[in-house]
Amino acid sequence: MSSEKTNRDPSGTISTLRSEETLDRGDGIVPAHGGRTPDHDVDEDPALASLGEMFRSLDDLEPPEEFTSHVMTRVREVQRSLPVRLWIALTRPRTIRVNLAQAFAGACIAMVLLLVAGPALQRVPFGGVPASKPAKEYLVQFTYRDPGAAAVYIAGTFNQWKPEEIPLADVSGNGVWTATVPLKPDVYEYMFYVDGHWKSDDRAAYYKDDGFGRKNAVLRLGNSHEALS
Amino acid sequence: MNPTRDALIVEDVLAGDKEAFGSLVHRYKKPLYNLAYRMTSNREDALDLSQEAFVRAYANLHRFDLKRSFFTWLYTICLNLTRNHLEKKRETLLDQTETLERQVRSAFPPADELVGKKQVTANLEKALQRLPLDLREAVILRYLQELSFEEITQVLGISLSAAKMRVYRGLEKAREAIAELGGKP
Repeated sequence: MSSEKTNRDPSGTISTLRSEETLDRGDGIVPAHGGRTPDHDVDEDPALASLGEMFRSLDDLEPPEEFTSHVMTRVREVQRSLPVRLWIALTRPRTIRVNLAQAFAGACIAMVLLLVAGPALQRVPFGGVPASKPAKEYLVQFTYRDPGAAAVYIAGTFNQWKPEEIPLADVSGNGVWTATVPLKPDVYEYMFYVDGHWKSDDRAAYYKDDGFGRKNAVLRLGNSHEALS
Repeated sequence: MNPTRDALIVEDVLAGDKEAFGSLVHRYKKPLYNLAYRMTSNREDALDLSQEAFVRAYANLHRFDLKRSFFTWLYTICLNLTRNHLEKKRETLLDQTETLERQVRSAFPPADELVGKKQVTANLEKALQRLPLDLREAVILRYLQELSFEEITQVLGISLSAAKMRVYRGLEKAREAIAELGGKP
C-alpha cells in the first residue's frame, strides 16, 4: 500500500508522488516489515555500482543549434497577466543600475543644482547638512591569460553575472586579455567566461564555492567587512 | 542569502529583461534535452518537451523560490511534462513498440550480432526503457545527469532514503533487463 497525493507543479502539470519512504519499494511490493526500508547503497554492491558507471558512460546528445532561439521566440510571446505583473513588482527585489554615461550626466546635473541652489541652502537654518563625500571608486583591471581563447568576458556580482556584457580585449595579440572595470568599495564574486565556459581566476586571493563545483574568485575593495569564507 | 548567479538572472528576467532568460536556456538546454531524450528515447519528443519546459519555467518564473536551485526546479518541470506525455502515449507506445520491434527484427541483425560498445550501449538503452518511470527517472538523474542524491530529492520531491531506494531498485531491474536481453549486466 502506498499513499498517494497529487502534486501540482508550478508548470501546471500534475504528478503523483508516493510516500514510499516507509512502505513502497518502487515495484508495488510492500516490504514484509512494513516499516522503514533499509538503506540502499549501490556502492555496497560492486556489480550494481559497475552498471551505474556503464550508464554514466552513455554519450550525451547535442541539442539542435536553433534550440535557444526557438525557446526565446516563444518566451517573447508570453505575456504576463496584470495581477502577476503587480505581484512581481511588489515582491521582487529591484536593482538599479547606472552606466558611466548616466553617472556622468547625473553628476553634471547635481553640480549645476549645487551651484544654483547651494547658496540658498546655506541660508536655511537647519538645511546645512554637509554633503557626504562621493563614494570612492576603483578602476580594477582584470587579466586572463589564454592565447587560444576566442572570446573572453568578465562577469560577477557587479553585473549580475551577465556572461557576455563586459568583454576583455587581447590588445597586443599575445593571449593576455584585459578589461578595466570601475567598481565601488564592496565585496564582489566573479569568474571569467571564456568561449562559452566559466573559468575561475586562478590568481585570486580568495574564493567561494559557486554551488556548481567551481570556485568564484572574491575581490574585496575598500573597507568592506563582509565575511569571506 | 548568497544567491547563485541563476537566481540573479531570474531577478533580471522578472525585472523585465526577457532576453536574460536566454542565458539560462543556453546553460541548461543540453542536460534538459538529454534528460527528456533518455526518458522518451525519442529525439523529437525530447526536443518538444525540453523546449516546453523552458517556456513553462519562464511563464511561472514568479513562482520560483529564489532560495531553491533553479536547475532542480527546471528538471522537476521537465520530468512532470515528460511523465504526462509518456502516460498519455503509453498505450500507443506499447502498440508502436511491438510493431517497431517486429520491423527491427526483420530489418536488422539481432543484438547478439552487434559487437563491442554498440551492443553494450544498445542493451543499456533498452534496459533503461524497460524500467518503470519512477525508477528510470532516478537512474537517469543519478548516472546520466550526475546529480547528487540531495539534488535528486529536490527534483523528485522525495526523501533521501526514497531516492537511494529508487536508484538501487532501478539498477537491479536494469540488470535483470540486460540479462533478459542476453547481455552482461
